[in-house]
Amino acid sequence: MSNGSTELIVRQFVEGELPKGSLLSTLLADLKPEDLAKLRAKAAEGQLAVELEKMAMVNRFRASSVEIKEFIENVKALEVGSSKNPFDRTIYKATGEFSTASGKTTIEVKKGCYIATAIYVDESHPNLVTLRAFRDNYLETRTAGEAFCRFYYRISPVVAQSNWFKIFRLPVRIILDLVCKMLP
Amino acid sequence: MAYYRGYHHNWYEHTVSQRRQLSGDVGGIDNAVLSYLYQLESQSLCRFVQEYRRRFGDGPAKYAESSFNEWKSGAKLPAAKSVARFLKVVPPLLTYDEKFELLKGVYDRTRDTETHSMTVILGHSEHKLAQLGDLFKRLCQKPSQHTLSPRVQSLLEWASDHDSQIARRLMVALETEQSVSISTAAEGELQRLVRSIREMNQSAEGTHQIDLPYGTIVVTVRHPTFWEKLGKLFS
Repeated sequence: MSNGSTELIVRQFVEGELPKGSLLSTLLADLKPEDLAKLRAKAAEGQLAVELEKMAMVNRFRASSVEIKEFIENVKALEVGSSKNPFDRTIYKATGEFSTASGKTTIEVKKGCYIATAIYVDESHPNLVTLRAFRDNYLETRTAGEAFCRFYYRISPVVAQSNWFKIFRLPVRIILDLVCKMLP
Repeated sequence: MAYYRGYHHNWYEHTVSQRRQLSGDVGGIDNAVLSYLYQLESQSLCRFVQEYRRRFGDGPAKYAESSFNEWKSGAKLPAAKSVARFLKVVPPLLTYDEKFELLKGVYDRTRDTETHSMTVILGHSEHKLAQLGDLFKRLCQKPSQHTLSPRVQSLLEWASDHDSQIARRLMVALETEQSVSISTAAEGELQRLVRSIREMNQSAEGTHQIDLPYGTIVVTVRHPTFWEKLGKLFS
């Protein structure tokens, strides 16, 4: 069989014209009996390895589906928190890495003081602690403050991720430093 | 004396660098060939010496015979030239299965692998996922297009013989079947990733790495940014 006809069979297989599992037999169909006899052990070994790998892939697909589902549920639980207050646990960063049938899937999700965290980088910066305390103890106890927080959490991810935000990073940091000094 | 030491040092480095280059060219199978050579039974070893003499002459054969024990014990490092000769003479003396493994090693390590990456923005560029189908097809066909370079073919003449050709056909069939299975699974897993990211908040971002025998595809799925949403409204 020429290289060209091998390519044709492979293409037919990929395009679904050949039923799955027949590739090996189709590709080796025109071999002479003595050639087939030489290949028999290796072909059986290879076919078995492929079949076992397919079974392992099905298992990995199922297992990773369950793991991803659990991860999403956990993230949702983090987001809502145990109480009704949506700002109860607003700071988190969750990363899940899952071994799948075809490789690996990584999911990353985070929520927090996006603008402030992007400016101070370190999640435990003293100014961030001051701002969070202000949010929890002052803003969220007032209707207008709560509305502001809601608005802030809606716009801050897109603002923090935008390219032009880098330009305003320094001035915003100076303003936030001053605000933090004024806060109790 | 200083000159001699310097010369000796350079010769050793030269030999090592040439061996490294040869090893890289043949996908590292030179070490396997050497271990096969050192394990040959006396009968096969006689055939090896005869064949070696026939192909390369009396001088190299005598040198190989006298150095064989030193090479085997590790006291002496075989030069790249000698190893290149072993690569031609030893494999035809091996069993079909041993030769198959050597050939598989060469093809596995001389693969021309590709890396592709793609970002899919939910509601904006989800159509890109459909384009992956063509890439999968191409990567599934790559095993049948993989040939050894002329340099490797000249180093491993036996890799072009009839036995090696039919062995390669089996490898192509198995690699293609493996690629097709991975591609099929990847399509389902990408749909799953899109659903998962859609279910999560704005900041969620997912990456799926697909490892095919002849390539790696990295797909990132994320929500659109504020400006992308705005841009879509005006477009």
